[in-house]
Amino acid sequence: MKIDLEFLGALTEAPGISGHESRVRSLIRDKVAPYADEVRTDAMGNLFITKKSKGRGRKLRVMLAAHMDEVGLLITFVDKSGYLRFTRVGGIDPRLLPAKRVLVGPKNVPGVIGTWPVHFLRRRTDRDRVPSDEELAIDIGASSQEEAQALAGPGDYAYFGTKTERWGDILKAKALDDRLGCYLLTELLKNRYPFDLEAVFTVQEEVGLRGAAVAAYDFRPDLAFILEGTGAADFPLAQKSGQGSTPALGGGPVITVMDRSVFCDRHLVQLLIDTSKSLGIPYQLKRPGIGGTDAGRISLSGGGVRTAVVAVACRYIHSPAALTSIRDIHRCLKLMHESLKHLNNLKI
Amino acid sequence: MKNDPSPLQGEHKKIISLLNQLTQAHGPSGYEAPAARVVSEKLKPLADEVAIDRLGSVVAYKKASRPKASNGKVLLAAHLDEIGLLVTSIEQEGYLRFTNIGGIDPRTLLGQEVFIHSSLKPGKKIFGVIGAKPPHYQNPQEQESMVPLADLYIDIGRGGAAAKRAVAVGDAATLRSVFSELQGGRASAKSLDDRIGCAAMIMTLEHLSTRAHPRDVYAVATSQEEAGLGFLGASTSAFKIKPDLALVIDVTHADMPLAPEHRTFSLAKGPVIAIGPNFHPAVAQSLISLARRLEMPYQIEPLAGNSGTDAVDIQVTGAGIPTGLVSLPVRYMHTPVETANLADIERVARLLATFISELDQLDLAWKD
Repeated sequence: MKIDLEFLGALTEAPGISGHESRVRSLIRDKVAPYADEVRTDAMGNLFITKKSKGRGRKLRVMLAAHMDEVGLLITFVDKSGYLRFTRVGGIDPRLLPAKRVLVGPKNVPGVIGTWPVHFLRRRTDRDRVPSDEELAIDIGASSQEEAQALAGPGDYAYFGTKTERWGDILKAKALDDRLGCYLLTELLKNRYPFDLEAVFTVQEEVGLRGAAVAAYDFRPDLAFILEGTGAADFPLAQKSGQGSTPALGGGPVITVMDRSVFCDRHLVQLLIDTSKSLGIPYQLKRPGIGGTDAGRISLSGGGVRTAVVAVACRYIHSPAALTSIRDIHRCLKLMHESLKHLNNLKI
Repeated sequence: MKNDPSPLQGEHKKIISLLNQLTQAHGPSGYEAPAARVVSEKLKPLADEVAIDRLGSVVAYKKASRPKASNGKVLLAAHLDEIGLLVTSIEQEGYLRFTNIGGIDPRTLLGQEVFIHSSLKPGKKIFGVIGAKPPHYQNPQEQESMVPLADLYIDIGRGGAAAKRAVAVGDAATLRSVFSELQGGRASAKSLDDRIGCAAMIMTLEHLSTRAHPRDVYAVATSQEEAGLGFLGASTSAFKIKPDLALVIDVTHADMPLAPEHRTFSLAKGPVIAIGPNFHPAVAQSLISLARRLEMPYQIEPLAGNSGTDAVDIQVTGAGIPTGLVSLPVRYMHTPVETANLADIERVARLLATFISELDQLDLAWKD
């Protein structure tokens, strides 16, 4: 299986701030429609792709989910000078915002988030101070409120206009959380498995796992797998806080045991571990207690759903430029494909 | 200002393309070669001779159109270098630690992409990111203060051995930033400070190719302005050339959100002409009179002492050189999203070209 870097590039470069997932949804829909049995979008914007089982036998209802949305900015106001004021959508560190380039709204209007020049800082402490959201604005070059409003206004989204690049085994992109999961899911949908598969590309994960909640209620799965791009912790700033260095880039699929949103099903976790071992793929367990995913909501849906999370490790998620390992994407794909093939043998 | 033609009709695309090429080139202080190549290429068709001098400045010589024995020389200077980073160590895991070259603002570094000027693999495109810890791994107080420079690092996506094969301690790095054309004839890029001055200088020579000018013109893209060691390229180039007059083109602060009005200048309101001890009063006053005569808008920047530009050292080179400074307003200076207006470039070029073509009439005598 070759990684389709062209499609992954398009997926990661597309804007999809929570609540504005439409560009990502249409990219995915166009891609998977030829091999889907059924395609539909629900009231919240979740995209459901049905793939019926091959043959007869045990009819498990299996849900595979990946979220389409990413963190970003939402325009709240256009001021008198033509600057766009904004609020943050999802977990964006405000220290990332100064001196960044963004694209605004469906017209992709280029803008910059400026900052007071270093020359204007008088006290040493000014350098440590984090600018408040009130001090930051997007400059699209407009010189009046009217000029700016003709191009962008309250309710429009803004996103980091990062170009996706391959550096050897490394892929640099924005929104690897969770376009990587979306990519894995589009690849898995090319296959037919011995159970009814519902692939759900969810919305609004970054603002409280909201899309997944209704999707799981709707489909009522027996089992669910969540595919993610998860934060690696093998870099100096994370190590400094004494938290170890797992997961690591290039360390293989990341399997969740427990995080802030979920206890994963032990049988599914074991299946993933056993499959990794039999394939000779290295795997890593996600450091417990950090982050949360759609699994949190899906596992609590209805009378409860057995759930597992498989992720590709990415450094610097929720920033304009995250890094991941192409080899790890391969490994996750292989692990998921093989695990799904043997899902019916699982004794629960 | 009805006689000040809108410079962006027809010229617009040309200026955008020139500025795009100049700002996409990388050239931190002391490592200017890649930027020097681009500037040289632009100057060659406009000059009689282009060379790179001992400290890395690009020197273009354009002979006077009316050669006489004592017609003299004029120096045009815009600095070539940009602020950057310098690799100080390579960690076992392959992360690069760095310090700043010039006035880098550490508050703007988190999450930026960088280009490494590799001495081990020259010409190879080695990129990296200045990694930011995601909120998932932070404790609640962390977002209350900026990450200090000493804690930042560059991740080039290679492990220790591979990183050491690609990068050496002492290699420089510069921020990558896509050139963006904004609304209203504005553009945003890295290193507008001072490639926008280089652009204005190139366009000044372009004007001079169709105008008579009484003096030899030396257009110099100076090296090592930003490093904080002095204005090294400018002072050595000026010493070698020994001009009778020098005109420096640099940037100044433009208005921006929350910035005090009295410390900034407006975009697209014309060249900013500096007045103060760093400048010869006759040069400054002649520039102002000329702007008026051309019915070109202009702004005045009083500078009490050190202007922080090449003019500081050029003025006191040799037996002293009458010096003037014309600046272009730039927002968010020393960040990768510096923003300026294209009309300002054309106006500065037209002002300086006219000034140089009329140098016969300039009276530098002290009126006291």
